[in-house]
Amino acid sequence: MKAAATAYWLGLQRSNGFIEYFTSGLEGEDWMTIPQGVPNPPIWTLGHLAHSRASFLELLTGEQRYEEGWAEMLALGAIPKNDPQIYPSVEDCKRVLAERMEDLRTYLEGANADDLAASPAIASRFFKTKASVLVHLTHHEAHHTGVLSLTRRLLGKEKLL
Amino acid sequence: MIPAAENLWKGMERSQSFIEIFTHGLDGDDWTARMEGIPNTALWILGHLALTRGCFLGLLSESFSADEAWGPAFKMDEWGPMLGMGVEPKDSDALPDPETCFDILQKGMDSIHAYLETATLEDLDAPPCHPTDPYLKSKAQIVVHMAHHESHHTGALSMIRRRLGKDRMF
Repeated sequence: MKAAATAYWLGLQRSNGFIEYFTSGLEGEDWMTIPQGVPNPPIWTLGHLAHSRASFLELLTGEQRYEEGWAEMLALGAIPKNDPQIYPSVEDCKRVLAERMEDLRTYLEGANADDLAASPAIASRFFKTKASVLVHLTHHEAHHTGVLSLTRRLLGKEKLL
Repeated sequence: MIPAAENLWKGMERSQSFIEIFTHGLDGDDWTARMEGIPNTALWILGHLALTRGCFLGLLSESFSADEAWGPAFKMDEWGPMLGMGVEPKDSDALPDPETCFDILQKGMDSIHAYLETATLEDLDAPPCHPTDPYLKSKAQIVVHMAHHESHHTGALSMIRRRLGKDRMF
């Protein structure tokens, strides 16, 4: 991987590590529970992050690697449904997170400074360059792990930090 | 700035903008409001980020540790017991005010930019100046972690905003 791309790979490893860390110890009904004052159950956040990786990947490569039926439930601004059972399973969300991470690694292994400075592969009103897509991708994930951390505590899980 | 350093800088710009976005519109008692289920106040989070930005800088270069301009944020003995990792918020009156925290955060941005402007690939691959989390093996990883740690805490800030009835940012 070229030096210019390494910062983004380190960022992705970091945000991915945060997701694993702040979902540790969640099990069974924990994933479906919406604690008071939190807008979404943890399964929504996990699915949203998995779906979002596919959205960011499309901006980088133009490839569509979406899971069928996920966008309407899990895209930015989707309203949480009252029935958490409709969401994908934890295992599916984790599988998709891992698969899209591999896709992103493959992209970064072939990216040079010129490619990172180029416009996204599809038009975006939010991002001018592929580099800005990558920066937002990992910080978006880190942001959501802050909500997961609070949710863990509201569910009575042990404090991690 | 070499491309590798520039891309690390973009991460810092993003976390700084997240802090600004998710504290937008907070004023007066909003900063110290305690909410059931949320362990920290907005002011504690802001102070914690100011303190830790200084701490992470000290892992990049010894020169930051000796820089008096950093003031109390770099003095763990003063701010650490109030704002260090895992410390539960105590008396809000003892905490620095938001303006002081924002000022220190800006000083941090200026210092990180100055560091990255002259950093070489060898500098970024070098180990931190002091022992720290074993995951953080290089100075590049310190910058990456610093920025993502900040964005992580903006998750709690967004929850506080919602509970205070502030406008939704996204």
